[in-house]
Amino acid sequence: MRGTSSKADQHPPLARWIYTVLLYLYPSDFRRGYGAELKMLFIDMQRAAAGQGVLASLSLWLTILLDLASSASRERIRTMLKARTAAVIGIVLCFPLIFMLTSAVLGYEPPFVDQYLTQPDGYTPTPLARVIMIFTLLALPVALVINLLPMLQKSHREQVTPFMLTRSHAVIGMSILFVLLAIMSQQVRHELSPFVSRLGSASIVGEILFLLALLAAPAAFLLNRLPMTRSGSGGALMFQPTSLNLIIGAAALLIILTLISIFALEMTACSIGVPNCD
Amino acid sequence: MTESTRDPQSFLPLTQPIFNILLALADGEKHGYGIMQEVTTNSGGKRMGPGTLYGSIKRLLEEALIEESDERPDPAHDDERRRYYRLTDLGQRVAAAEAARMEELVRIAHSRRLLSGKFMGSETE
Repeated sequence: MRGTSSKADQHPPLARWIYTVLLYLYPSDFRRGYGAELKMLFIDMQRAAAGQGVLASLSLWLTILLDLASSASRERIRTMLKARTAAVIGIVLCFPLIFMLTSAVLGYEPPFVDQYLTQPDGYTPTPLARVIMIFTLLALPVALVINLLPMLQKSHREQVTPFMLTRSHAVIGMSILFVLLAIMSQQVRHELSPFVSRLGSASIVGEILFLLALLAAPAAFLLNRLPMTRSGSGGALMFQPTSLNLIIGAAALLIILTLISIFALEMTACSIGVPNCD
Repeated sequence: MTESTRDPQSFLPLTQPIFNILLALADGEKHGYGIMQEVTTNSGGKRMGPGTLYGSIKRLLEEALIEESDERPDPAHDDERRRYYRLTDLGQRVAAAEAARMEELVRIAHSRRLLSGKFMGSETE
């Protein structure tokens, strides 16, 4: 078997070349791990079909192509849902919101906002702006789900490494998302107020989400410390000063504390009767 | 939780390709093509595609139900680049649990006469 395989590889016919090209439909890590074996398997299958006539060869290609379509898409989806890729997709999906918040904080309004996103009166949003707003609101939960899925998948090898997202990141992400959703719900409520007199329960949901975010913040920080304290052997604790988890956790906590401070300051100002506090 | 102490029931029910691969490896280690041939035989000629096979193998390795074997059954007649796979202890227990689950389903089907007349009758008579 060794001799035949090696000989076959030295003179790859068109079919093997086509199959090698088709393997690029698989994600790169899958190709690196199993590409060579897939090619050997294809050669074995091709050799077995060769002695059985044209119909067997056609049947082989049909099997190969159907399998390629289903398995390559399956592997692509699995790769997409892996933690690091999920984080990137989440950031891309959150980009409109990040952009909107950043430009609001910086007080900078790009020229295209006036041109495409607002009506000539300079205030009323255009249909395009409404579509972007709806996409932004829908993208956030989608990003959250994509980020949470890798955490929810069953795996016995629950190994925490500095470059892997953990459940604590999910909690942190969720708490930040709750804060953002609450802010967005306030904005949406403000925008819709000319058309809808009272949102009622919708605004209450926003407040509840905000409260949940406040409760989740300290829990997220504590959870983020757990991987660090569990990393010792024999029950001894081992400190990892370069833990990316800790850095991300601290950054997230800072963001959350800043938002809480802003909220608390506003509430305090209103409660002590500062004029125009809201 | 270590792999050896994990409850096999938590893996059930297995998908058909996964169970077929575990069955194929139940009587000893095999390489990819060997597994494929065994699966084809056990499935009444229905072939498993290469991508499905190695996608399933990848997940079985990740779940520690199978492992790569360094031993070669017959090095003189084998391609040294081939990877051989074998069941782990956990893989054996999971396959046994799935087989028991299916046996129970078949028992229920028997008790409801699904396998006695129309379906089994033609084969047993």
